[in-house]
Amino acid sequence: MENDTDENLVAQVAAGDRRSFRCLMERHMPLAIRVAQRVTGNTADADDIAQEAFLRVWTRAGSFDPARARFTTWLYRIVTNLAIDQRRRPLHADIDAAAEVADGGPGPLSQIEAREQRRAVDAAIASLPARQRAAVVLFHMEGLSGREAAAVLELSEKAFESLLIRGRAAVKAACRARDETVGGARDAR
Amino acid sequence: MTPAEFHRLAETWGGDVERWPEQVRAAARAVARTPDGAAVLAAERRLDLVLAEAPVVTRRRADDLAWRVMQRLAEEPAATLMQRVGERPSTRPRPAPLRNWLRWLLPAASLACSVLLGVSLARELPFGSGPSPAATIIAMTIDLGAIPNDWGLP
Repeated sequence: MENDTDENLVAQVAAGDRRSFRCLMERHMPLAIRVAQRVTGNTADADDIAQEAFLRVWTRAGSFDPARARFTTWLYRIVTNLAIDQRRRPLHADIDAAAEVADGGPGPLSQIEAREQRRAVDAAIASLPARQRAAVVLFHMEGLSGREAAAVLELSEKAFESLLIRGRAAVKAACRARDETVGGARDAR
Repeated sequence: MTPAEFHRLAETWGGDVERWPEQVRAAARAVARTPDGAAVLAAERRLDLVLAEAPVVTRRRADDLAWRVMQRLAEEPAATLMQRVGERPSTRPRPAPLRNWLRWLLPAASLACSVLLGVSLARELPFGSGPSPAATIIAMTIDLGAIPNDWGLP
């Protein structure tokens, strides 16, 4: 079973095989959690969405067509749709989630700076409209190609490009504003 | 490709030309080799790194969620689950037509057996007139021996 492709496992899930379903979750639960967490900006919502996404995989496995898409594309689509619909806390970046990201700095000061920068980026991403956020997450964090990410979001490549450029521009502006604030504070010291 | 086009593409797709749309890559590679092009890409690459950072998801958290999903599957009947996730019944194997037919046949056969048993008992058991219904009710409520035989109940 471990050597089975995702698509074979989904076919077995469609026939009600719980072991195949468990195997799929073992492989892809981390993907579902991290995408949901980045798009919603919240760990608790991400956990709910990841569970819900796999329940949908279980109930809809029969409608999955391996000729049309890979399993991961289908899963990305389920997760991002759920995460985009989740609008309870769209403008709030989860502080715990920000702290969970590994910082690269060697000393405490650079760790604090890295964490602060991470928070600023998280806040900037969290303030993006949900679809722009999803575009940035799929392309940059998940490393999907423009075509794959557009397919996940069920958009034309042109429309995806437009989402991505606006998302990047907004995050870049937020980072620049933060750098100017930090730079100004340093100059004042 | 003009520098302005190159700049716009870099702002859209980031600092790695190999991730840009296939149809512009060849032209972009040529611009990327120039000092200006390389500087544009380097600046975008810094943002790429920040955006690519993923939240840490521990194996334990993933396993815990997977376990909770299995629990929900075990607890919720399939029909409820499908309704809750807004799903029509999937193409998961359904009961064969024969099994559907048997579902009706079994209760019908049970009823027929009960009727047959009732009829045969009625035919086989000796017919005798028992106490009248009124006497039976009275006997159930008061002491049977206290009823005089000459009450002449119907």
